[in-house]
Amino acid sequence: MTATTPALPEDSARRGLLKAGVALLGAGAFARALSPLLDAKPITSLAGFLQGHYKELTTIEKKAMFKRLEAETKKDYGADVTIGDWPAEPGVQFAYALNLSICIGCRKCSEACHEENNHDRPSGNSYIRVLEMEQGSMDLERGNTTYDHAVPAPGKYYMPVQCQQCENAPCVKVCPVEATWQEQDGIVVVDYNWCIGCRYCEAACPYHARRFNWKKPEIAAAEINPNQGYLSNRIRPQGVVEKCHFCLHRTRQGRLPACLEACPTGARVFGNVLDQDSEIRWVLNNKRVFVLKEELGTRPRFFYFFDK
Amino acid sequence: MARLAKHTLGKVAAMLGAAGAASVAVWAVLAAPPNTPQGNVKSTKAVKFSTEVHIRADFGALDTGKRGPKGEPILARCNSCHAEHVKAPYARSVTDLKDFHVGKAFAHGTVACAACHDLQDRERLHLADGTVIPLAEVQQLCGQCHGLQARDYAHGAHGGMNGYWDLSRGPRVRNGCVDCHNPHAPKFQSYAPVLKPRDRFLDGPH
Repeated sequence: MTATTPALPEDSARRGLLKAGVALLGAGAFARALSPLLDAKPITSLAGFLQGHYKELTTIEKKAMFKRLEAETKKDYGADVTIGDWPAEPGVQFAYALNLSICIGCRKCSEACHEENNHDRPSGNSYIRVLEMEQGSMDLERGNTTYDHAVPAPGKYYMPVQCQQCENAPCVKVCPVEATWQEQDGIVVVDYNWCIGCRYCEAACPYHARRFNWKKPEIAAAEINPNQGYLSNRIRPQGVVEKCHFCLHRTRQGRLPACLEACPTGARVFGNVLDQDSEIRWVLNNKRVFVLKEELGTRPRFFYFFDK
Repeated sequence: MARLAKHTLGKVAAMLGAAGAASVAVWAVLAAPPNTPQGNVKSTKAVKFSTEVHIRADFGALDTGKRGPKGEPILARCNSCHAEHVKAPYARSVTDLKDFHVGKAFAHGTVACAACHDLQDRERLHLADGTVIPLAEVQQLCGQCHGLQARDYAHGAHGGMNGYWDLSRGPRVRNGCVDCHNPHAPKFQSYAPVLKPRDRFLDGPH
């Protein structure tokens, strides 16, 4: 005969206590794990969250959206800005050419881009990266971007690289949500409000032309360029990809891009290739132009040439 | 020697005349009142790439090295001395210059002063064929030797500019040769580059 030992009242009490303790710990850990969510401020308004794809918006919806974004910029940055939208114009195909013989590597283009396009100030971001290259070499891998001496240095030449606005753009193909596309005039744009920040495009670009907003751009109200375009230089949200857009808020109004205006030597030539009399057309017809990484078949509309 | 130089210049001018009709067209429209000291030269005719060319404020004058009350350089117009009381012959080279002309940097080959400056009027220039031109049209003079640059300039592929790519929608102002190249030492000056890229990892947090 075996006697079953009745559970002692102290045992069940201890078990209950243990259970409660573990439950409390678990709840605590869960709360701790979720606490960043409680601290996080909403990165977008409800209207922003519900906003449709740029290409599917009506003119009225776009207008309302620009108004909202202007108000948000006022609230976040304290600056009065106007956000506009300039569609690609028929009969215009933009192209850019750069004379490597007269570029001196001063990075003024890079600086102009930084200011024109409302880039994050602390990180010194710009869509243009100037490579210091060895004369006689075309090896981009050996290009140095962080040179800090008087230019032009002996034995070097300088190659500014920005978005090449490829006709066959790998970045556009990889986007899983169609947040980036090529417009009729050849400019590859990004809808910053549609981008999910996966950075596939950044990885796909052979020219290292795309940038990711790791944090919300910091920029003083006085330094903000108030003339903004929805698909171009408006202040980008955190967590999205951005890139050079040939200053479409300027160029689609007939103006020259900011980087060209800043160039002290006139190394940059910009214009409409469909215009037979344009400067860019003359350069393409008369200079021995080449494109970067031609073998990849990206068909850039950014050309380089040497005078001699 | 001088005859040879003249011959060569004449040849270059002839070649330019034959080859660069477009550039000549641009030069021809740079019609400004003689010795305009500042402002832009407006091209008036409807030519290809008709633009304004920026004109320096110190044309036809020399920096005396003295400064005015606001720190502005005090310029002496060439003809304020040379028109009347200083009838000195043209210096052969920069080392022959006197007074505040001394120390003028010169690094432009072996060209003599009078190769460009007019012998009668210090505020004018003359071309290789003897045609006297105002200082504001200096590009015409530069283009006699620097034909390739003149050709590129005429086609909008040399020299900085501001304004519109589409001239039907707005104007464009371009730098002239001497905005960037000191005519006495034309090599482009070296620059301290701006906006050095920052590395997220190597340059510390921001």
